[in-house]
Order: sequence, then C-alpha cells, then structure tokens
Amino acid sequence: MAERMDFFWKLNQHFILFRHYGTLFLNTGVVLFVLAATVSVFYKTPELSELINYPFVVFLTVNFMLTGMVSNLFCGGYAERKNYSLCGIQNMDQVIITKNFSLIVFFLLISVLLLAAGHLIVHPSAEDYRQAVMYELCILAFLPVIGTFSSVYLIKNTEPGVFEMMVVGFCFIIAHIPYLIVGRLLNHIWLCLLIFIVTVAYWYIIQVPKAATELIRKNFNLPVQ
Amino acid sequence: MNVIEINKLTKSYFKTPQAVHELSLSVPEGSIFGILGPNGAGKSTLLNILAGLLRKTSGEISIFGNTVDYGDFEHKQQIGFVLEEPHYLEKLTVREYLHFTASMYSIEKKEAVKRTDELIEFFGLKEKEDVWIQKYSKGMKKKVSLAAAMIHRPELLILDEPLEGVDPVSAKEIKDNLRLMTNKGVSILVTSHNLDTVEKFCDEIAIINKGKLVFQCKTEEIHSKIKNELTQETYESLEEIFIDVVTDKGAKNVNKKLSWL
Repeated sequence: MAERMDFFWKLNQHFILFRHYGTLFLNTGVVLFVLAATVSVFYKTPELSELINYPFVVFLTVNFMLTGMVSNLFCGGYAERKNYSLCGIQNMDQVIITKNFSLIVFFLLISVLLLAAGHLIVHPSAEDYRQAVMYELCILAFLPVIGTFSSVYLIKNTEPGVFEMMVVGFCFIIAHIPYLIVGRLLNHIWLCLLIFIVTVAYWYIIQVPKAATELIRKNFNLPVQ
Repeated sequence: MNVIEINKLTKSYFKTPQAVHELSLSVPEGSIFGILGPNGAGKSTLLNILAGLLRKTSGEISIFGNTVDYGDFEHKQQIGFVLEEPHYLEKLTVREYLHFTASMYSIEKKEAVKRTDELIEFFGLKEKEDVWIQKYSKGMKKKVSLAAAMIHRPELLILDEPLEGVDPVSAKEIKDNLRLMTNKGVSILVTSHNLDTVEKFCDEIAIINKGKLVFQCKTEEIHSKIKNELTQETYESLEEIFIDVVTDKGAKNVNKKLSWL
C-alpha cells in the first residue's frame, strides 16, 4: 500500500510539472494556431494557400510548442532552476532531466503523431506519411538540442552579458537551419523558408526583448518592475 | 556565534560600480537582524548574493562558519529564502507548490502532507487552496513564499520584504511565529521599508545607503538616545536615525513641495 502511495506521489510530481509547462506552452500554441488559421482563412490567394494550409498550421503550432516545451523540460524553466538552486540541489541538471524524462518522450511522440496525422489528412498516401515523419524527426533531432543548449546557457548565467545574448541568438538561428535543408529535400523550400522566418522572428520579437530587458535590468541595476 | 559573516563585500554593475561597497556585518545566531535602506540601497543585491543568485565582485561571505561562494549549494538546504523576485511555479496551487518544495528538501510524503496542511492553515490560504498561485494577490503570494521557506524547518531565514502586502492580522501572526522560531535557535535576516515593523520586530538593525553600511545598532539602544559617533547627533527614534543617515547633510531639513499642489 505504502509503495503504491509512493508511486502515485511520484506520478503526481510529474503531473505538477506537466501542467506547469503544458499550460505555458499550450497557451502559446493555441494563440499561434488561431493566428495561423485566421491568416489562412482571410488570405486565400492561390500563392498563399499553397503555403498556408492545414499541415502548415499544424506544423507551425507543433513546432513552436515543441521547441519551447522540450528545451524547457531539458533544462528546466527559470522558476524551476531558481527553486532548485535556492533549495541547494547540487546536481540540478541531472535532477531536471531525470524528473522530466517521461514528459520529454511523451511530447516528442505526440508531436510526431500530430504532424504525421496532419499530413495524412491532406495527402493520405504512404509516401506522404513517411515524409511527414521523416520531416519531423529531422527537426526533432536537431532543433531541441541547439535550443536546449542555448536555453541552458542563458538560464545558467543568472547574470547574462552581451556575449551570452549573442551566443543565444546565434544558437536560435542555427537551430532553424534544418527547416531549409528539409524543405530543400522535400521540395517545399518556400514553406520552410516561411517557417524559418516566422520562427526566428518569433524568437527575436518575443523572446529576445524579454531576455534583453532582464539583461539591462541586471547589468544596469534597475529596480524590478 | 554568528550564522552569517560578511566581510568587505563588494558588488559592481556596469552603471552602478558600487551597488554594494565593502560591506561588513554579522548576524548572530538566534536573532532577528533587520536591514533597512532606501530604494536602490543595495539590500536586494546583498540578499541575492547570499542566496547564490548573483556573483559578488569581491569580499568574503561565511554562512554557518563556512566560506561560501556563487555555485555553492550545500549550505542552502538549511536556509529558507523569500526573495524580492518570486520563484514559485505560478501554474500550481499552493498545496502542489509546497509538496514540490518539500520533495526538493527530501521530506517524506507523510511529513510533507502534514506540514503543508499546517502551513496552509497557518497562513490562511485554505479558502484559496484550489486556485493557481498566479491568481493570488501580492500579499497571498508573499505568504506562499514564506510557507515554502519554512517547510523544511530551516536554521536560517533570509527574507526580503516578507510582510509586504500582507494584511496586519496575518503579519502579526507571522511575526509572532518567527519570534518563536528564533527562541528555538533559528536566525533571521530580514529587509523592510517599514521602520515601525523593524524597530519592534528586530533585535539588531543595520542601515545601508548607496551600498554602504551607514549605521548599525541593537534596537533596544534606539530608545536610550543613542549617539551617532560620526556626527555626534543624538537620536530618539529609528525614523530620526534613518532620515539622518540616508539623507544628504543640509538637504534633510528642506521641505520638498510639488509645484501644482
């Protein structure tokens, strides 16, 4: 009985973090999905409808959610790391990865399935299905690794300087190059170029100013708002 | 014995070369040590350095008799922190967050549940225990931070404005409880802007201005008309002391007025 209770206790700890991260990125995902869907409805020109279609919307949404989710699960969010630090957890990285491992696997699987499903609905052939899975796997193999590296690098430096910010920015650009490679391989270069631009813009418009504000606040010793 | 010894601590930023400048002070065991100072005096910077979230530029910090630096973790297991920038996971309920915190201190499940129940009851969060922390008011969030800082029965509490936004009834209960903790040997380092609270609550106070220690005394001395050795002025209240030591000489008697009022 005690063992069963312990199991549920540990399971609950996972769900606690699942909800914490899940909610954060689900919110982002929903907003992006609505935006992309709205664009695809209102701009139905022949050229754009080639680019903005159902798989695109699904892929874009999944990608945004996945990048943030996986990199956060790998390295822990700022709040999670701060908690571990203040509680004196020495092997923080190991604890975070162990704790979040099941969630990382879960989200990777979900994203592959979602994307594959999105492609299957539009082009229900075995070839497309394989392409969709390969497409997603290529990105999964590369993007979270670089994204995680940059996030860890930024979060570990509680006092990031200009150099750190440049490294992170560079990592985000590098992380999105696979879009171009995969797009070229699948003859969807324009679609991938668009995703590349939108994603990089997203990080630079939303994420970098946030980090830069923090950087300025810390380095110039400005009061917290 | 002193639980915290700070020796010539300096922290420099790019635009603020002396956020903390050669600051030395010590916190005796089992006492409540208050740090006062105007906005931007360096109080939060000092506490963030003690919490290991900021690197010091120079100087030495010793906690529980051991020299500590940025990146040292072991000593933090015996400390509870309430910092200016909250660090709770906002998408959790108070119960979930306290369970999460308890698990980080390796507190057994049964004990964690018991302590969480008591803390929720003590801080008056029972009614809102199913609500996410992000929906809480500022005062309630402070209570959550305090509860998390106390769950592992720390030997030292480092509290940055712990009663900010907390209602007077809860504030009194919290202060009473903290005092009880000090009777059992817990030491507390606290910052506040509320002079009255500090005067009544702390055993010893230090005033920091522009990163420097400008005044230090035991609170019982305030009422015995203590004398500032530098200026030879005699004070009767903490407010007098505070205004004198943080205001530029000659400017303190100028009554500032707003032109349109």
